[in-house]
Amino acid sequence: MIRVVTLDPFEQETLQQLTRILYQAFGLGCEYAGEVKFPEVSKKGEAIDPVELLTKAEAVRGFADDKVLYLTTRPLAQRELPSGKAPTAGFSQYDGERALVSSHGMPSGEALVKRLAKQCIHELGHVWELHHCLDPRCAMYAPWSPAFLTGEPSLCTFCREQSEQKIRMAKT
Amino acid sequence: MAIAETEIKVGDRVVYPNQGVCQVIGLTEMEIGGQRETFFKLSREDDQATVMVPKGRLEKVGVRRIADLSELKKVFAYLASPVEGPELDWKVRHRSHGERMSLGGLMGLAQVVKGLTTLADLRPLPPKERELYNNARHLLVSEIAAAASISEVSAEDAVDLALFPPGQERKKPDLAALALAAGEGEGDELDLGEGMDLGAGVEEAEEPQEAEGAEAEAEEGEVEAEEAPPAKAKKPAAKAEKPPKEKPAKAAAPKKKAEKPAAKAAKPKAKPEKKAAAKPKPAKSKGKK
Repeated sequence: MIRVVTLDPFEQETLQQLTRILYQAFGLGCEYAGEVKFPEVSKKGEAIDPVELLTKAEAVRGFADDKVLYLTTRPLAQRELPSGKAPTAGFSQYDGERALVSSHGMPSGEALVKRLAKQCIHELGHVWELHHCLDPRCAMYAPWSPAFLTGEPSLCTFCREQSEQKIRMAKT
Repeated sequence: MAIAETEIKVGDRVVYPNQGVCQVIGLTEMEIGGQRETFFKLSREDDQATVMVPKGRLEKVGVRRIADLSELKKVFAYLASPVEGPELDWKVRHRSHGERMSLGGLMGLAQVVKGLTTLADLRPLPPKERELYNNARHLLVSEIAAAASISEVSAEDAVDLALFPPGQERKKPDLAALALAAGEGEGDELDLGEGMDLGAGVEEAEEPQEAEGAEAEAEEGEVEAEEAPPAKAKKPAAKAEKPPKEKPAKAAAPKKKAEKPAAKAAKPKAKPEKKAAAKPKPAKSKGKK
């Protein structure tokens, strides 16, 4: 089960559409689990450290294999990596339980749902040990590339099969 | 970069080729085939699976230390370097990728990932190579994460930051130049390997070439049909033999256009076969009545 938790207020309609898209993408139940208090985390200017936010975010009740997706509207700080600064719209624990996505800088209206859903699928994919994909139409493609910003929020056949395999193996 | 048996101790983190980052958890003695032998016991960090390596074969197997920061820099510089044409001969590619995966170290993994990324820009990868890409990427990412002490997601992003710099479309290899380099007019220039399991996208990509070939054949057929009537029968017969070799049913669609001029010549041969095949049907229907 994917549990969507908000750290900031989001429109109910957006959340409903998002849970539906996530259910379709992974073939796994997805529900909105409510809003939790934004934790106290260090800031770099206005941006928030995504790694710290993900570890400090309040836990929600769930079962062993549940994955928790935190949503925020605040900007996330770019991460310093050995090959440069990574634009960060989300972060997740590889083979872990938690993922985080920020809607900051995303378009408003109907386009928001698609863009947000694609980023959510990407981060949740990492939670199920998916790597970045070669297919520009896949949600697991490099998230800062121009191809990622357009197109449908869905996985390619290879990534879908991989995620299904992981989900099947993880079922308690 | 291989590690000698004297240099390794319990608690060290090492890389076992094709298995990934492992931790040395101890030494055990086992009797195999009447011989007692000492083994290094390694625990794979991915899933805590145990890997046993005979003490004397550590170097031969290719167990090595985790890459250091200077090697990481070289790898990222290589990933960010301009795109070279991928190896087009699938046999050479298959062999070299196998060697790089097992003995190439971190740079070898980076070469496999970059090579297959470049190839994927030309054509969708066949399933086996897509699987290989995923394995190579997994090993590369987990070693970078261990070497730079960062999370795997960050290591993943670091690899793609070098491969796909933000705000830029990737420069794709020049298809025409590659075809020229592979040998002019030698047919299957961008060979992904007929013996390999090709994806649907690959078949689609081959269609235009076939259609062009068919058009050329059709034109030749027309000219020959006017000049030399006995040649008529040979050409359509050769064409009739070709389609069964080609697997995809989709390929038939673009051929329709190309076959039009040659259709006249093909008719005499095709008709009797159809009739012969169709004959039993009426007989069956009669029987039913």
